[in-house]
Amino acid sequence: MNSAAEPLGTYGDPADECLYVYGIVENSRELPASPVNPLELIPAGRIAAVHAPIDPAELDDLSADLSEGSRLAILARRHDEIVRLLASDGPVLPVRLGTLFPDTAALRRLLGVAERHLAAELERIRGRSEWDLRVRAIASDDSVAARSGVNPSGTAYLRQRRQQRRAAVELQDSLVEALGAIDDVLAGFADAVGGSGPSKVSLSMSRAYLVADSRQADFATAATEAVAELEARGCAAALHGPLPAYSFVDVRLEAAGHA
Amino acid sequence: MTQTNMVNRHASQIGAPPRPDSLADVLERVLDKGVVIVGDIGVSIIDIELLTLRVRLFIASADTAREMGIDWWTADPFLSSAARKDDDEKRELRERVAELEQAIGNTGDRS
Repeated sequence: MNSAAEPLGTYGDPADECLYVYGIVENSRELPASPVNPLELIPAGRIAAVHAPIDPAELDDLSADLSEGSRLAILARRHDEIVRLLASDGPVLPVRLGTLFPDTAALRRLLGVAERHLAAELERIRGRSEWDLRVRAIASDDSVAARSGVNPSGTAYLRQRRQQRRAAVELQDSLVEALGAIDDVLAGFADAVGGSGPSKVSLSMSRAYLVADSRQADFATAATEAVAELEARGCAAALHGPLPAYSFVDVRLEAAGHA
Repeated sequence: MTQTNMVNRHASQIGAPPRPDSLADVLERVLDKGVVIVGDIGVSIIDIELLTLRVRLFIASADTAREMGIDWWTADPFLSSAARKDDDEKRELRERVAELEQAIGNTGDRS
């Protein structure tokens, strides 16, 4: 075995297939066709784990290359794609990238222990999707300086600098106020809000909103209008959604090894 | 309507060309959120921790972030070290990466 395969060494030969787990879903559902490996279900009471076979060597030394097109990028995009696919047809709890089990028995043991908790989490996000809004100010007070045209000196220069600073502060205050108002409006459509709110220091916001299906259209309209308003104010704003409820699933499970 | 179509529809409404999620967006979702399974089962936690730290360091580079179109990440708590230009924290992360690499090396030595 080479050193790169050592983190998975407890599973024996690296050529052995493991189970790669993408997410937890309800036991009652059917699986969508996967664009990559054939997906399978391991049921446990009301829940089931969605997995596919994987050669653990695929996960060796992933951090060596973080560029687009790398093994990490391909794995991460595939993971996200399958979680999205599952979310399009019912609630799903995304499982963190790179979660492997040596065999179905080990996975069944974990599911058996955590079934009640995971079923409750699925129920909590049922019929809801996540929307992410990221905003960052790209305007600077240079624009104020540029508008002044000439290069004054002495008292006039100091007065101009004060005016520039005052104008910059007013712009920042105005933007933070607008971000707060937008956040309030969007939060009004959401069942839960995550991420970081408007920051006066960084002039940015990175929010996740958990929105019920019945309010998706209203939220999307309001968020799209917000993006347009923020761009008109000189901000970079990106809206992503609807997404699986990645930001609203915070579950940590302790799994024992070979029982 | 599919999810992708919905995102693209919004993008077209605001006058921007449809743009797929950046790799950083995807990594932030799949590495830092969701169900985390720890213990002596699943992929070694040390490996994922190392990977996550490296991804954070990678994106904490302003130039890299800008190239990836995700420079607002520099203000995200996930990357608060970059937001504060906190060199001490970056150094701690690098040291932690080195420790983890050392730990992995030691594991390999034992096999």
